[in-house]
Amino acid sequence: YQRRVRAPHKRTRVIASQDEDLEKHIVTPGDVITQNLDFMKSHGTMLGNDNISSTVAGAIHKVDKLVSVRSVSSRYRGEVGDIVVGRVTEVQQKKWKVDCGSRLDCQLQLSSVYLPGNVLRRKNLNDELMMREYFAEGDLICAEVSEVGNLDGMLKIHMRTHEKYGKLPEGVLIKVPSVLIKRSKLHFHRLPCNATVILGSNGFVWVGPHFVPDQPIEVVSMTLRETIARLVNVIKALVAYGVQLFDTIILTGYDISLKYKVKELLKSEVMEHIAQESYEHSQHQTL
Amino acid sequence: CKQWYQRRVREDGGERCVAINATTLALINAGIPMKDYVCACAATVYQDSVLLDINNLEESSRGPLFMLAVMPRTDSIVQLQLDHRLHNDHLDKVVKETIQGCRDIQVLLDRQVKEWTVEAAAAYEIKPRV
Repeated sequence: YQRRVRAPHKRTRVIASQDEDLEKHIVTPGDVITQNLDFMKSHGTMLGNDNISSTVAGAIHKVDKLVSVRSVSSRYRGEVGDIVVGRVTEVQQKKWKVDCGSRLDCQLQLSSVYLPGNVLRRKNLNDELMMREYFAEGDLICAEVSEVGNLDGMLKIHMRTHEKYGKLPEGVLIKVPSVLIKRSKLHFHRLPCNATVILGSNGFVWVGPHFVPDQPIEVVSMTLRETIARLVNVIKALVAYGVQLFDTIILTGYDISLKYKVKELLKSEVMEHIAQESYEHSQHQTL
Repeated sequence: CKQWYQRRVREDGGERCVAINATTLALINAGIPMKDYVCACAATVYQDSVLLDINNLEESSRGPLFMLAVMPRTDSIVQLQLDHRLHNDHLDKVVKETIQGCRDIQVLLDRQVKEWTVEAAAAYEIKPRV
């Protein structure tokens, strides 16, 4: 079957750079950062011919004698306390391996999980054999990062309370650059339009119906499916134009998008309009 | 293991070079650390003069098709491809001109990458500290 290719639409970022100094300190792969070899080299740098040069595209970061380049796009690194959404890839002896979009799969120990019925107790052999009943390969889960490995950066995740963390029911998962998720106190948002949005710090965003973990949900109605699809398209529009995601801007975008049909939200001009207006709205609100 | 694929919108010669240049940009976009850009340029020799960045018509002539992929800042050749026959007398000249062509392409690519990086750094609030 033939796919019609649309002409590329130039995507200009909604947020323009206001700092003239910024350009002087931006480097690209191969650019020389300094000729002084006394510096200690950290992330994003390498030893070139008699100089220290950059290996990524980003901003120079010098602290005392340590020089690094903060890359503009990189995989999610993880910090203790982050809320992440991930997909279970493996069920191992006493733990699950979860894909969180970082360099290595995260580890979810059997001992750090609440059993159905909000029970936290010492797990016995029976529980170990029933691991697949709780989370099987391919399930989406929401958890919190408890540890970041020193040597390899592997994340250990756990589920601290019962109400928010656990297996996610039917919904939509959107993978977004992790840089675009704004750090805030709340990542789990129950929106007034009957949908829930979980903004995982790893860039995995889940949109779905309201739910309580381990309790069965009723069949999702057609109007709710449309709402979820609309939210998904709004998030995609914001991401395409480089706007950081947080709950109020998603709601603003949702309100602006109500005048279009859900499928119209996939057009570049409409996406640009939504991103532009949502961003301006959020700027006015903070002022 | 990563996968990447490219979609051709319009073709006018030099597909291998475009593929290499586009892959370099894609890797930089993904934040994968690289020693340097890898830029590719193709050339041919016609009546003793070197033609750089050849198009479809020039490619279909019976002259040599010489392609170089180069890391421009150190002038190290990553890949060299030659189709048809190139006379030894022309070799030095062609290599020199093609390396210069790759350096020029790197300047063009770098301009765009810097523009993108500045915009992204402003949007994602990545501030330099010097």
